[in-house]
Amino acid sequence: MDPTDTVQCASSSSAPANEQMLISVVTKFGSKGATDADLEKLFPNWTPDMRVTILNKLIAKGFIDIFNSGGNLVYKIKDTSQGAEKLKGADNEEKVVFKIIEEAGNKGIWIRDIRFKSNLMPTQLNKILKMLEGKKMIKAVKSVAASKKKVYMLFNVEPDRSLTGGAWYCDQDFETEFVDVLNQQCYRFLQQKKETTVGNKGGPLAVRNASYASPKQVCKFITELGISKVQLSEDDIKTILDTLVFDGKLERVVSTDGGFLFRAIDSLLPPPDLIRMPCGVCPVINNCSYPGKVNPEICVYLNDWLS
Amino acid sequence: MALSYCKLCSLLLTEHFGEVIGKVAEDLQWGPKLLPNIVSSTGLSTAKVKKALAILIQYGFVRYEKSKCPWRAEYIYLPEKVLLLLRYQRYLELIDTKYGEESRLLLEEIMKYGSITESSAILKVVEVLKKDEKSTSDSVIALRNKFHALITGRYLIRCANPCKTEADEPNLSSVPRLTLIEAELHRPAVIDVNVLCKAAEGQTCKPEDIGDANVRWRLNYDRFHQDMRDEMMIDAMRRRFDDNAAELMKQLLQLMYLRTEAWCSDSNPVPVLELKDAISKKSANAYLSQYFEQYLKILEEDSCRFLTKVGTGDVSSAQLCVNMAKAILQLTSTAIENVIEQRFGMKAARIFRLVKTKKFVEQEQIQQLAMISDKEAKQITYKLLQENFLQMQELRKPAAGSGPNKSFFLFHVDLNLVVHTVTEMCHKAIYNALIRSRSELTNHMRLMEKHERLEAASQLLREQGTEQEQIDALVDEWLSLPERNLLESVKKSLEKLKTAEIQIDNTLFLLQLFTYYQHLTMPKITSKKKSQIE
Repeated sequence: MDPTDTVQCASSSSAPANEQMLISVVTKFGSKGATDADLEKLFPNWTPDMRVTILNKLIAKGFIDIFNSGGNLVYKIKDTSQGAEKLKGADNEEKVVFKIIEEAGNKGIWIRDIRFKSNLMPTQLNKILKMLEGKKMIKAVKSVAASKKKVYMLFNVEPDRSLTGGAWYCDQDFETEFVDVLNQQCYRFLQQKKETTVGNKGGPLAVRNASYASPKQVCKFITELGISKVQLSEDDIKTILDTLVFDGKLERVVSTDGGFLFRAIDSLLPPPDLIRMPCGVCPVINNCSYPGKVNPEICVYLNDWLS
Repeated sequence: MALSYCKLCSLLLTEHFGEVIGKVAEDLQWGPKLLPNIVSSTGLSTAKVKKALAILIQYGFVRYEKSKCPWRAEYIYLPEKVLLLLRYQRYLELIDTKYGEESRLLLEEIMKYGSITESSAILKVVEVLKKDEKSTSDSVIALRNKFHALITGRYLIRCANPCKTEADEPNLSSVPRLTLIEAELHRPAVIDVNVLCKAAEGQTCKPEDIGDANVRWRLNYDRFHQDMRDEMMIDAMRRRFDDNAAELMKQLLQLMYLRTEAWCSDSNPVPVLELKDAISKKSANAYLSQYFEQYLKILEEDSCRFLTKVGTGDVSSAQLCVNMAKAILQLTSTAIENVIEQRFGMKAARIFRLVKTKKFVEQEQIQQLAMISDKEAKQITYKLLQENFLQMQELRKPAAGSGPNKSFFLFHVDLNLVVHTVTEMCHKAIYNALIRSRSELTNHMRLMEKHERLEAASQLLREQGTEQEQIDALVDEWLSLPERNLLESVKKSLEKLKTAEIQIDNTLFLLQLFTYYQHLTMPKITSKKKSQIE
């Protein structure tokens, strides 16, 4: 990930999560260090006060050093070997477990796998893990794929997208409503784009081409709309647009530059006539027979429909 | 044959032709039978069964064939023809818009009798016109021309006649063999118009004098279905693009029939230049002519894939193919997706389309791509699986070595099966509508009878010259207010059910088209072969 990428989970409100994010961002800047301006750009929805509090906390805990370069304040991560330094006093088992977790990277590692790899007793391992967690050297992350499954990773590592689920998850829960709203808004945007072309007399090809939009344009529209607290990337918008394609509301074509273009389309057929009668949507049609307990003569759905 | 299908067909026959015929048809649904077998299993008298069979054969619902003993005929039931009874209304409307009211009346007579000679159809329509006081002196000639127009439009087809036994064939079999020469399929019979005019004026004359006593006509269903299919495709273009695109499609289909048989899966290529000429000549649509090439391009590039361009280069050398089979496939998928959307909700339709596009997918992928929460996605997927809209395939790894034995469950769509499911739903829905209207009628039998009696009485009074106001007052007296309200609501319900039947048949029509194109790889029964069979 490029250090200049905007951080997406910035809306998350819990303080420890913010600290972790800040650490992971500052880590990416490496020895050059991150300036205040960089941080402001990356966390647009943090107030300066909030940023200062978090930085102060981290400095106090010894995760971050503060330097003065040419009048500007620069934040650098303290040498990662500090973990090893802290471990100096620890015993061999702790070092082994720490190493295993370190190797797992941002994907994390499941406690069972640690046990297999380290050959430690469960009770002993639990104790070690608790201790390391207490020292803020590692952290437990819940995966969205399996909510009961906890994985461990180093404290200053940002969890992988496959664990957090990206922009669509908030504390392991899929944000159905958020996705639905985005889905509707994207469709509305393309629909409006199509409607503006109706009066166009420049020929059908021009009409069609004018109704196309790239994910970038849609992304811009959504950002300007301000319905999302989270900064959404083009890829996120593309995922939403793909769901609309699966809804049969959009058509997707490959554009000349290799990307995708989207366009609102109408269904080829009006709603089929089968569903104009209640039988078409009847939940118990499989049980319905004449004569039988569920039969058309006494059917309540038909009664409602006919009256 | 599915149970719901059998039940629907017998019910339709019972509703239209009465108990006896329904019973005979029901008996035949298990396979071909000889006359004595039908008599013994139905318990009806031989005379009744014979009459029923004659009627069924006249309408084309049953055909007969030499059985293993050559002097006996066995009777074969054709339920697909029975189902077309639902579509008669559509056929009438189609002819009404295309040829006008008189042709519709002619068609109605043919439908009433199943198969009929030209002269008797004309005579019957003349009578109808006389009753409405619309008959003119030259209406016989006009009707004859209309009838011929229907024949040349291929909406009517000759019935096969029994052929005379050839000399070299020993006359073992007393079962008549029906034959028809292909050249005669759409050739009108020679009619003595003078005799026909006299007959129309009320003079008695022998049917032999008119000259067409053994040339009977019936509906050519395929031709009607072809029109209905084209209309559906043109409408789809109109919905997707605009009226101009629909016009283009219409002209293209017309050109296509010059070169291609109507029921092929892909048309033979049509030169673009010819299409352009046709459009500039036939339709006075300047906008379409101006942007002809652009319209062609967007139609061709659209995801519905109705057309393909054959041959590259400019307009002069390019040719167009109409992908009938693909078009119907697209339309059917759309219809089924719509059904799912209405039945299970938007998200179910999304999952269905997703699985259809991705061919084989795992549960987890469905959740990720459809952007639906885990639990809901699972619920919908399994619901669709349960209702036969999705299929599941298990991939089991051979249990080699230790470790957990993992299997993959892949979801996929088998459109044939889905179409089958929806078809069954349609049959059931139509059956339900028929049963319901029957029960509405029987429940309010007394009221309906009273209403009929009143109608007859007021008609009588009107003929006797009673004032309309007086009749109304009398009717008001005889029929109380609650009774009248009830009558209104029953009538409304019956009408609603009737429309539902016809509407559901539209869906059924599309599904049948789909099934037809799916089976096209198998040898097709052409009209020639068909007539030989009959």
